[in-house]
Amino acid sequence: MEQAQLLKGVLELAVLAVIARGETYGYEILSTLEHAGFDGVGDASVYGTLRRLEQAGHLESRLAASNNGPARKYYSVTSSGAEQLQAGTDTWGRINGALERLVEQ
Amino acid sequence: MTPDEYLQDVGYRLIDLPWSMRRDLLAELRSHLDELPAETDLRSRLGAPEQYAADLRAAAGLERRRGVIAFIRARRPRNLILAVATLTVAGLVIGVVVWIQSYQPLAFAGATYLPADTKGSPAGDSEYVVYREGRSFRFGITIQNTGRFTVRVLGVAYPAVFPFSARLLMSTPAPPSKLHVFPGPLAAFHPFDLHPGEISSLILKGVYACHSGEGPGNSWTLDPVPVRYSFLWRTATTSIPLHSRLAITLPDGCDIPGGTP
Repeated sequence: MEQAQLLKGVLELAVLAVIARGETYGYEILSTLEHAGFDGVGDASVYGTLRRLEQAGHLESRLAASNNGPARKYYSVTSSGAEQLQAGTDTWGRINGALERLVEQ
Repeated sequence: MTPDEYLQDVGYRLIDLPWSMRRDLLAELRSHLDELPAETDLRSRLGAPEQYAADLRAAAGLERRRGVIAFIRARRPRNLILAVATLTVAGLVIGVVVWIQSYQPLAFAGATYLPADTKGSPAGDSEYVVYREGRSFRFGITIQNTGRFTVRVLGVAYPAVFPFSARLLMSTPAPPSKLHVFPGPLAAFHPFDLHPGEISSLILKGVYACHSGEGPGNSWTLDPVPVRYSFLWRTATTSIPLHSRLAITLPDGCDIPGGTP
């Protein structure tokens, strides 16, 4: 399976996890994801995910002036976003554990 | 491809989305493009604009929107208001122009001043007077402005030549109670303003006389009376019907010089 395909499924979780570390904006989220190894995910997918999470109420945003160029949209995680992240991480942990046990056998 | 071109291309592919949503998505893309190093090849970094727009839609769950409501929501509210306001004003202007073009408030006020010796026809539905060369001729009608705006009365304009020589005279506006008496004093006609509700008399006064070029047949109908008037920029002729038809008839054997009796 392509890495990109695999990553897409956990992108929502990854984005929530990045923002849960502190208020941040699109470009910074992308850079953090890339450094963490999520380099097969397109920029558009990240921005689309941000849009969807915000619409679902898991993120909130505010516009703030930046030193260079137009205002940045800063995202932070809402309480429902935090719950979503917790539930998603738990599920992911179980799947990951099950997969590891399968591979070890 | 410059960032502006890229942004424009992506924007074009999101044209169906509600205006504020599209604005927010493009603002974020603009901010993202500004963060990228100047020498970045946008196509290799972000993919082709159509791919970017498609990935954005897929990840955000934004279906392509169709239909009239989507079309309206995709417009900028300010432009929508401007368009509606422009259409409203244009509609009002057209309405006002059409109304002015058709405004005709003049009507018969109920009294006619018939030539002497006018007789009723045997059927009773019309009146006639017999032509008598050289005798005095007088015919008048009353008109009223039944509308809410003043119009200017310009005269009486019969389309054909009639067998009399007469001047057009006018009376000062008279109250309805005075209409049964012949109005006076009379003045030579000049165009005048007839205000809402006002009644005025238009009188043709002269002598029976024949003219060459009179129409075929031996009867001339004076009803309806064509009255010329103007309202704002528009001049028109309206035919004012009387309560009964009035005709001038020629007796047998009457010879009109140059005419065709």
